[in-house]
Amino acid sequence: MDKNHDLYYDEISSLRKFRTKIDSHAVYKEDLDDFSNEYEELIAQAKVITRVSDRLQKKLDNANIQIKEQNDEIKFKNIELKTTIDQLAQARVGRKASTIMLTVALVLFIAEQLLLEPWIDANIDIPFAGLGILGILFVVVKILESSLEKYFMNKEKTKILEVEQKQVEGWS
Amino acid sequence: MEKIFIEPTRITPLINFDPDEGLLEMKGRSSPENSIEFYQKILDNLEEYAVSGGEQFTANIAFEYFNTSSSKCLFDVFKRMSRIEDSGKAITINWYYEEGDDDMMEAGEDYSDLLDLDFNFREMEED
Repeated sequence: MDKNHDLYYDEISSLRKFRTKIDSHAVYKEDLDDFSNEYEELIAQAKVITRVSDRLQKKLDNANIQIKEQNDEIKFKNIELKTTIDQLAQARVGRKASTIMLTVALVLFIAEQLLLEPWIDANIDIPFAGLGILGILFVVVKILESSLEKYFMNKEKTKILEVEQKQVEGWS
Repeated sequence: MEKIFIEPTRITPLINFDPDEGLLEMKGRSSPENSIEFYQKILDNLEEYAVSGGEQFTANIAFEYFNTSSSKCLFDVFKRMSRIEDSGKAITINWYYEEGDDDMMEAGEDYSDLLDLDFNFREMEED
């Protein structure tokens, strides 16, 4: 037993001394008084240490509850953030696809008006044939636009995943 | 008896023991790896002060946090102070605690009650 390493060095020493006295049948009233005083002091120590520990546990428990609440809030905020990022990406991708398809539609419309329309007028005798072709072109452009939107969205997601992967690699 | 000055760390408090001035200051956080090893020198010096120290003794204690084994060492520190008082010297113990830290104030009350020592409780404003 080492005085510098045993927290209860004094108490254990007293107990050993008293036991030695018991073994040698040399216990006097004075020894019993001393021992009972030391025992009383030990109870006082136990009281104060238990109270301090209880307070520490209470603090720790409250801190844990607070951390759990903050974690839940962070999770919720992350979901919100992800939804917002998705919406923003969707809007950006949608705009990009619309611009491309608008350009394509314009080119097709000019081509139809300049090349196809005169040919239809000269060779096909169906009323509103040119208008019908324009309608078909509109449907095709719309289908292409949503396909293009999906393609850009997938590309955007891959880009985000790659950035996240690089961040994870940077942390580890 | 010797002067003791220990700089505070993340896990040990500031210690300033000046036997000539009859002053002990302990301030900060206390959760050392080995509490008894950290406090033993102070305990030995206080023991000596009770026998051969000056007539006045002042302790300024301001803990933010202390762990369970430190609470046992603090009990021993106050027990030594009780002996200093029993030896007929005038003793003043100032127990500082941060504003609103009722737990720390109550810890001081526990030591004061159990060792029958008079503490001056002083609230500190948070930095």
